[in-house]
Amino acid sequence: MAAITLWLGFTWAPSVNPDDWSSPEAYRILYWHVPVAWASFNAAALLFIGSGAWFLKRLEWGWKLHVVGANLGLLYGLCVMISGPIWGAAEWGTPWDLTDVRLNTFAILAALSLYLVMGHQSQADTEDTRDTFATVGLFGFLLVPLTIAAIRIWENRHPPPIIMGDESSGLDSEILLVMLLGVFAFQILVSGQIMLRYLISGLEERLIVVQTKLDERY
Amino acid sequence: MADGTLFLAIAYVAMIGIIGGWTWNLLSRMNELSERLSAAEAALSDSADEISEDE
Repeated sequence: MAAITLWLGFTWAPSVNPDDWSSPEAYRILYWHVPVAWASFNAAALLFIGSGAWFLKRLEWGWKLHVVGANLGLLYGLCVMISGPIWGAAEWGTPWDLTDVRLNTFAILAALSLYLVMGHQSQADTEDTRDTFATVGLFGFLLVPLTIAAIRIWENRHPPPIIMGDESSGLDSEILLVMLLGVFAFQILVSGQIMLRYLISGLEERLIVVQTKLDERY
Repeated sequence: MADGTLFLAIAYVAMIGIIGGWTWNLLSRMNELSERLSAAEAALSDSADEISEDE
């Protein structure tokens, strides 16, 4: 479905007015840029729920959700952090603007996911380290509403919000339709990746059990 | 390329590469774990047979 979105975005969706944009064709980046940004926000929500479930109730599924949320947050955060500056370089003539709050809060959110993923891989899996990472996941989620609100409060370089924005941010209905198809496609992809991650987690647990039994026999 | 087509192509290739690579890694890890689990379960079953023959 993500591939269909891309195909529709390039073939069916109309072009924008070339007089209004420096690089009119580069606008087509939004067909994946916006869906992956939403996917990264969803990943941050998973991270928040998982962190809370672990920190408050010591639920094992909560920790697994925290790990999956951090991984997907990094994956989709990276996609946003690559596609956004490339579009910025084409349209604005510069890949980044340090005065744009939206760009900076999202960069911190992606950096937070990177910190968690690297932390999970490098630190011993103890209750203390889980607590530390879960706290980061809980407070880090504050960046999501801040990032969403940033383009409404401090509009600078980043284009205005597409959904629930003011009249100036309205999109052509065909462009909006293709983009929403992309959003839906990436939600399905995220769900599939979560299921895969849980399957892997289950296999790892079964392998540990079998290996322990083998160790006991020999 | 002033219309941004080259930038667009680079961005999409990068995103497809990252998402595809990550998903590919997950699938490879799952296959590897499945094979290791099958081998470990076969070894466990063999050892159980040996123990019952000894008895």
